Amino acid sequence: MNPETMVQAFKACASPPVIYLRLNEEINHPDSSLGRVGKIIGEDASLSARLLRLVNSSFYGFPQRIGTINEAVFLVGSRQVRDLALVTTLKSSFGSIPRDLIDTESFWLHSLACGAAAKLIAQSMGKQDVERYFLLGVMHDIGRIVMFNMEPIRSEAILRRARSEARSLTDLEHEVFGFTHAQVGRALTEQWRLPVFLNEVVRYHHSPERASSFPEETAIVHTADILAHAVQLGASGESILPALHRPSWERLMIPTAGIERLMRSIHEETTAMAWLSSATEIGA
Amino acid sequence: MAKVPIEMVQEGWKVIAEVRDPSGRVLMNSGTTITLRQKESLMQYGVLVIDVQESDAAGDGTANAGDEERFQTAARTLEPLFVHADRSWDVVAAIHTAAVRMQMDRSPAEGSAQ
Repeated sequence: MNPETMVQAFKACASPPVIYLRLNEEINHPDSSLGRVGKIIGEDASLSARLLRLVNSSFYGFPQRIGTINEAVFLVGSRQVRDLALVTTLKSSFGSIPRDLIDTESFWLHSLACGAAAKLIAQSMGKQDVERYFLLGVMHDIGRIVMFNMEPIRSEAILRRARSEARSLTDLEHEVFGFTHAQVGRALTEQWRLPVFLNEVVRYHHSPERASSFPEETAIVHTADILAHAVQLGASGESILPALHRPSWERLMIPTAGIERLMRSIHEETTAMAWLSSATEIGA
Repeated sequence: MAKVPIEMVQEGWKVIAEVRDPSGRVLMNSGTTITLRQKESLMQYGVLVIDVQESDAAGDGTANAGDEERFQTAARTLEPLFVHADRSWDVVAAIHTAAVRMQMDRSPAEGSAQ
């Protein structure tokens, strides 16, 4: 089996969530309108509620309450709302991870922490489209869910080895499967026809030096992943802190004196959004 | 803590009293950690000065002497996570120190999920 065949065999992820496809189609239509984007979201009461909760959270910190989806689309932007819709529907699309391997909520909590970290780093760099970085961070380990579901026995074995031998799970994936979760994630984003920046970031978040088209985005998510591990919210399956790539860190211009402040902000934002990874949201 | 002109406020500082616009409407609650976008919004709403506390998190990389034992206990808890981390690099050392301090702050109920 290779990353492509593994993704093709995992029926749960044959295509992206329908709502994402519909929003994408509307946004890319020459006569696209914010009103129609709002209408598509409004047809899904659960998604509407989750999106409103998110835009009214500390993620944006808008001074006034946003009461309707149309208001949210107008203030946040249609592409940004589409990205947030994908984040809020991902967990229910993938279902649960085999119980013996890793706690599903814990996995998504780490993904959220990485999303929050990527968003905060992007903000500190003056980036405007923070939802894009949030989405990148949340999706960085998506290939691992496919591996856990398709190869539960071998995955359990390498998770145990990673803990007992204090080794990188990514290295063990390569040793045992011949490929890593990053390659499986790349195969998934290709199958879903997601934007190329997502493809490259997911593929190279553990080897940012190989990113050629989107090195900055990749550096942000690479660093965000390490900080997310360090704040210890959730679990990716890694037992040891992944190695930080020095040129990627230097590219972000984060002052060393600001690291603790940044990590505490990651903790705060992730905790405030933890409901996104909670069991009650499955299938909601 | 201090009253600080809005232009001087930096991202990550914490608001320690409600922020109101000139008409008295509450714009931000006490305890909010300010982002650049929020700062710009407050300026647009005509806010001139706010009560903030500069984050006390940005430290000098050393634990408080009185907390030395707690620091060492937290560091031992985190040792498996950082076992291969290159702590001779000041950036990784700062990440480690921050993680240890956050571990010290963690309530027993929250625990570690790593």
